Amino acid sequence: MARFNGRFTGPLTLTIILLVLAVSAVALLHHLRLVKEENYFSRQDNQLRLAYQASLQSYELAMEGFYASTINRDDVASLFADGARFDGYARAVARGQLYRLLHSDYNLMKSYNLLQLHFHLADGTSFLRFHKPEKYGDPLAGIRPSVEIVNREHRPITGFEMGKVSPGFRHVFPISWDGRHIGSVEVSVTTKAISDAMHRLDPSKEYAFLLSKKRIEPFLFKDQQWLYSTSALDSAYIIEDANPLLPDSPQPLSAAATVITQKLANNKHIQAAFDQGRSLTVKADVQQRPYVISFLPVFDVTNQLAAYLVAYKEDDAPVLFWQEALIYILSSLFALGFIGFLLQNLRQHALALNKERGNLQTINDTLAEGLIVLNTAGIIQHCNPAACKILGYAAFDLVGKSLRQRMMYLGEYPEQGQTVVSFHERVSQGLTYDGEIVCTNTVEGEYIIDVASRPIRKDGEISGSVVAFHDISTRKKTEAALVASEEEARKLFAAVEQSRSSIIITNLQGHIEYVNPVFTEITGYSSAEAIGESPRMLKSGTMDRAFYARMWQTLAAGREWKGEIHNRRKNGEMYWAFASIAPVRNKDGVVSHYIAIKEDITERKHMEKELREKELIQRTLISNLPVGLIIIDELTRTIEHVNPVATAMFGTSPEDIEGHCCHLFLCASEPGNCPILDLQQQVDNSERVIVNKQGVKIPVLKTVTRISIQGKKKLIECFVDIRQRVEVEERLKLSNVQLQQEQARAEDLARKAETANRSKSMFLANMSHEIRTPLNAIIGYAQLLNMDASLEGSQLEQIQTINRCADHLLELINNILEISKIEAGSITQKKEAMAFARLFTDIRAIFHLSCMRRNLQLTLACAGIEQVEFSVDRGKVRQVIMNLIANSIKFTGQGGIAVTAAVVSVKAGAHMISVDVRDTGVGVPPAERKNLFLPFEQTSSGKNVQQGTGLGLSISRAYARSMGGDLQLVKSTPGQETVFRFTFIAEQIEGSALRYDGDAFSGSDGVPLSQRPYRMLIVDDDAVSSRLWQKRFAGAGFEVQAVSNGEAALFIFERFTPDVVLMDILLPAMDGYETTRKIRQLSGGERVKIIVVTATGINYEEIQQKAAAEAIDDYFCKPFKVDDLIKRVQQLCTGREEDSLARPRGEEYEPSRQFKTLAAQLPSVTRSKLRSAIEGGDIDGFTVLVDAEQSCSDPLRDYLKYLGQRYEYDALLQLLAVDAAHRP
Amino acid sequence: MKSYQKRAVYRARLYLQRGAKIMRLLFVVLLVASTLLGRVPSVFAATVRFAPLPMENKETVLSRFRPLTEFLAQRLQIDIEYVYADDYAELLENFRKSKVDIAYLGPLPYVELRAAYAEAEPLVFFKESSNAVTYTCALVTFPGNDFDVRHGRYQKIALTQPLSTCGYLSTNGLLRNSNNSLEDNNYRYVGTHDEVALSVIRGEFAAGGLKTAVARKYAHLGLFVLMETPPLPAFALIVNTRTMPPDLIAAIKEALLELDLTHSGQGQQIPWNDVIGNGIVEAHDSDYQVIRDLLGSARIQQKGNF
Repeated sequence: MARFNGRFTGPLTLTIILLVLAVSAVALLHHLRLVKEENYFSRQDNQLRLAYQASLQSYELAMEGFYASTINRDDVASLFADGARFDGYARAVARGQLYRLLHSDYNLMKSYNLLQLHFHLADGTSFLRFHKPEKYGDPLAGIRPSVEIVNREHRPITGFEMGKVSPGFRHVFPISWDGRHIGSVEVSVTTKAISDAMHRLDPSKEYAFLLSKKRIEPFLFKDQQWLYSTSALDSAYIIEDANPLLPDSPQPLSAAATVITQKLANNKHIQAAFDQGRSLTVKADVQQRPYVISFLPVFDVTNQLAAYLVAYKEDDAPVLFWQEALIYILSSLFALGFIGFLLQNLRQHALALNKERGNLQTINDTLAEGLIVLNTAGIIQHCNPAACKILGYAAFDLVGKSLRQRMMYLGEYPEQGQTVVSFHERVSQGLTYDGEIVCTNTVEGEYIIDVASRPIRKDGEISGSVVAFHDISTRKKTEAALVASEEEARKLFAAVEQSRSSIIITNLQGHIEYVNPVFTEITGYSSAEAIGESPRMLKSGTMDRAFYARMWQTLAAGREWKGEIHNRRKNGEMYWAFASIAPVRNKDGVVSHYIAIKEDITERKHMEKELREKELIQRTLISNLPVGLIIIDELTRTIEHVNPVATAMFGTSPEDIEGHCCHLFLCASEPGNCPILDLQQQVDNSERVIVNKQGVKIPVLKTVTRISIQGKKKLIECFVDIRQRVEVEERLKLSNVQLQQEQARAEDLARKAETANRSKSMFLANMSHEIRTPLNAIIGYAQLLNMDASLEGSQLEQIQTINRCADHLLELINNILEISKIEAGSITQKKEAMAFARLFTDIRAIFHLSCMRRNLQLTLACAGIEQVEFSVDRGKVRQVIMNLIANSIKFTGQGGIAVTAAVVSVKAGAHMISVDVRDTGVGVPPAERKNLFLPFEQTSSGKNVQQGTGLGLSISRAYARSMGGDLQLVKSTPGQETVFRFTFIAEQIEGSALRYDGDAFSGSDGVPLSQRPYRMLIVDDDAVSSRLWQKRFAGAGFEVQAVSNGEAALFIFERFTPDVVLMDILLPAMDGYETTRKIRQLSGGERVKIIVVTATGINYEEIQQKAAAEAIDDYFCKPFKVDDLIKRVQQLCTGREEDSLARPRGEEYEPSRQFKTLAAQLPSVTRSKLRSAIEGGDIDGFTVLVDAEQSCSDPLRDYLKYLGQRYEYDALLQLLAVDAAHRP
Repeated sequence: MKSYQKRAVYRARLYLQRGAKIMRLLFVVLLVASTLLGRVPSVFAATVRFAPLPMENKETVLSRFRPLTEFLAQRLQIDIEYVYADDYAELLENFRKSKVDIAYLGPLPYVELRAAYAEAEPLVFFKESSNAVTYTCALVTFPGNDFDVRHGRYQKIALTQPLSTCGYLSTNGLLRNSNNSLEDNNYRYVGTHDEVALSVIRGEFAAGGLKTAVARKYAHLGLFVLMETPPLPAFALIVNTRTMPPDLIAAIKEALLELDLTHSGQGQQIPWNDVIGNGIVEAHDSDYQVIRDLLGSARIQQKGNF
């Protein structure tokens, strides 16, 4: 311990020692790390050297093998000898032959990375470079020492060497012929090949060669120099093809290696190593990734430093060394720190122990508590001054004496005498003891002490006890007196606390010393908040100073003060209290406190105030009511009170009214007939007339009822002057009479308007009919002219313009009629069974060619409902959908149209069906959407295309709404997507299944159209006809090829692969029948549709027989309508009508066989009616009959209506001929 | 001449005439289609796309053309990007599709290109090492290859590319001077002039047609020139007037014509070489009339016949 207190154990000394040790440890560990890193770098150097040598050795073997097996041959040496011996062209030929002889071997050699094969003459002149055959004849002396040595010493040489094309590792062999040295040959690998080989050995490294600039640059061929660039590491070195510029250049250095190279530029260690030509390994970081870079000097065959091989490797070994060293350093520092901490702690503990000992002695001497230490025999071993004082003995008279002798124990307090022996026995047994005991001594007699004893243990054995005690005799006496006093105070306190009044006790200075709980309830101040404060905190500020002066005057006189006082609660509310304040006197009669007892009387005060206010309101109300009011005593029937209005109405003063019998003023009944008092009614509500004092009659509405005022029964009578109301009622009666007269006139006008509207509809119907009749002639003649094949192109275009205009006019008239019907509210519903599969199939057939012509994709889908039949107005649904699709086609330049039908909701058997028509067209500009569905409104796009009437959408919407649905533009993004949604309500036909016998509908995936237009091959030697057909079919969307004879048709058939052939019969050489027969034998000929076209005058029967024999699909006789031919071709292409041979087409219109069959199935009565309507020119009637005919199929109905709208009367009459049974 | 030879000659003429018609039609169609449908860049690209000769290996290409491109880049402060093509057909296609702004072309490729693409315009000729604005093509062979230029039939002949001037056009012309023709022999396109020379030396072909200057380069290997054509317009820089702004074209022309080649590679990192170092003269479309005359109605086969 003494050493710790010495001069060498101070904290400074200790710190210095520890610091010295720490610095030594860090230095040692750092040195060890450097040594380790150096060893590792040295290993890297060796690894690089070994890898380089291994790579070279592998190439050496290959080079020697190549030389032995390929070069070292007599034929090679012979040719080379010729080349060496001859001159001029003979040498050139020998060189060429040598090139020819070894070229394939050289290619094989290249596959082994032996990239250079070079023959040199004995004088060191280049003879033939296989890697640069155009370079030859240049001297190598002074540039290629290896060549010089081999040709001088006639022995092979191996080693790295520069060159004129590129440097590399070379193996140069001497060549001799006929015992004569004739030159040498070298096989070389390039630096790239060496790098590749090393990379294969250790793929984790990147390699680069730094070539000594002064050793290579002067000797390079001029056109090779541009391939070399100066190294960023050292300007004395260059790099081969570093950029890389050639397409087959090696992979350039990675970005990391490039950055490292730049970072190491002008590194003095590297510069020193380069100067000394020694190897070196350094480290570098790139983007926090550690790298190790090794430099290996490469010496050429003359042992001159020629290059440096550089290896880049991402290697964390140096980092690991550093981390390892850091861990060791930190561990050492931590260990030293811990040792220092322990030494410092030990020193501080020793110092603290000495200090504690001194403190303990002082405490013992100054302690008020008596303290005695006993041995196991109860003999006092030690005592402090306080023990001596309490026990009444000097220290020397206590130490060595028995405690029983010096502490005369009487028993435990307060049960003195009951456990006489317990204290000393417990102490002597070494047990703990805590308690108060009574003792006695000779000087002071009995005294009470509070004593505590604890055993002293040493090595687990009890070696004595320590007893602490102090005298509590005085305190015990005081406590007894206090207990008695407290009991009395507690009773008084309970009384005050439980009082229902607020009690405050203040001292003479006015500070509150006590408040009871009621005070807190009333004022909101807690006891803690109030005590110490002045009662002035309760002041409301509404009482004047004189009030308080009088109160203090009374109290100062020693008298009790009582009164009502307006106070303020803690929350700011005011309250009234009745207070009794009296002085409190002490036992000497002197005033020591004031006590105030207060009772909250706020509620009572409020009630009094409210009562007064109510009385005031009642009086004000009665006085200011705009009605007359009087109060009558029920018992005496005298008027007790009358308000000013009543007084004014009576035209006298209150004094003249009050106190008089009510009958004199108000009651028109006879005395004794008061409706309330005499007739026992509860309320009297009646209109009366008052005659006031001036004699004026005033009509009033009077109300009388009973009330009770202060227990007495009264009548309260109110009456209102109704002179104004009576006057208004009179005026109202007069107005009613006038209104009835106006209503009658309006109804008359409405009847007239309805008549006018009917007249307008009649006018429109009549006018449209009148317009239609001449229009029929226009259309008819235009069609006839259109069929005239002799017309020229411009004339045909004019006729087609007339046709288009007539069509447009017809459409306009039809739409106007429809609109007029809609406006007249005469849209009727004709419910029929409808299935979407059939509907969509028909629609698809209608728009198929239109879409194909515009290269649009049409998709129709009705997933989930294709097999369901609905009861709905089928015609309207069809028309709306067709309108929408037609619009989409019109305004869509590319993309397609998709129609999707789906049931969106079902309610009480009614299905809400939604049909979305979306297209990729130009869309509807936002500004035009508002008027989109208005009649005669067209979008700007519609106006541009100059098609349509502007009525289609308004008619369609009217149809949709008439079917409980709507038609809306859901969205429109120009060029992307435009969606119209058509909704309608339809009922599902229970248990029905789709009855469909037509083309299979492809269902939910829609019906995509063929992307390719149908191809037509026209075979006709008549150029005029051929051109006409080409034009018409091309206009109809066909891809057309035309030939003028049968041979050309056969030649082009397989190349063009047409879908349909239009074949003239009368062709030069090979006629149409033979051509057809041969086409059928070609690939694809069996499926192509062939239509034969004949001139007039041909025997039909012959044609029929021939056609059947040659498998001709159909035939037409000239002249015929080109439109009919187009329709027929379209039918054949789309497969809509498979019946092959129809009767020959002539000038007359020939409806298709399908419609003739369907029309023949109509009842003859119906056909007669329809014919009558046609013959009478009643197209409207005709349409109504067609719509009404239940047995008429949809396609036939559409077809008949189409013909009717086109005024194809002859066609209709032919179709509906009474004897028009189908004849196959 | 035997009857079968006459028939062969007649058939060849017929095919050539038909081929020429089809080619003309094709060119017209391509011209119209490219005019109507082609997307004409409206703004000159910041980088000039240069197509070097596709007839040489790429290392040679780079070493030959770098002095030229580097000079233009430095003088005009422009970036030049190399657009490599494997053959003339690909190069011309790139040119027509506006993927190339400027190209180094021989006379036949230019004539073919101009016929289909009117925006191709010759800018300057590069003089040959003989200081002439012309060059010649040669028919070469190697001793022992047993090539009979007059009477030989079905002999293997190496050609560069269909659109190479020294390919089918000149080789067939040289053979025809000896009353022989390519169609009477077996010919194949091997790609580059160097490859023609080396393949003949190696004995893979009995003879070959290539640029005379290249053939001379391999004379030390025994390659010898059998026949040589009359002088043909030299190689030229052809600019794409559709993609290049006129002011840039004028600047390039001016820079090249004003170049003083007496100071070897002034300011250049790379010295002048055989492409640019022999001199530069202005070129005009009319200079190519000799090629058009030579081509006449001949039909150049696009593939070898064996």
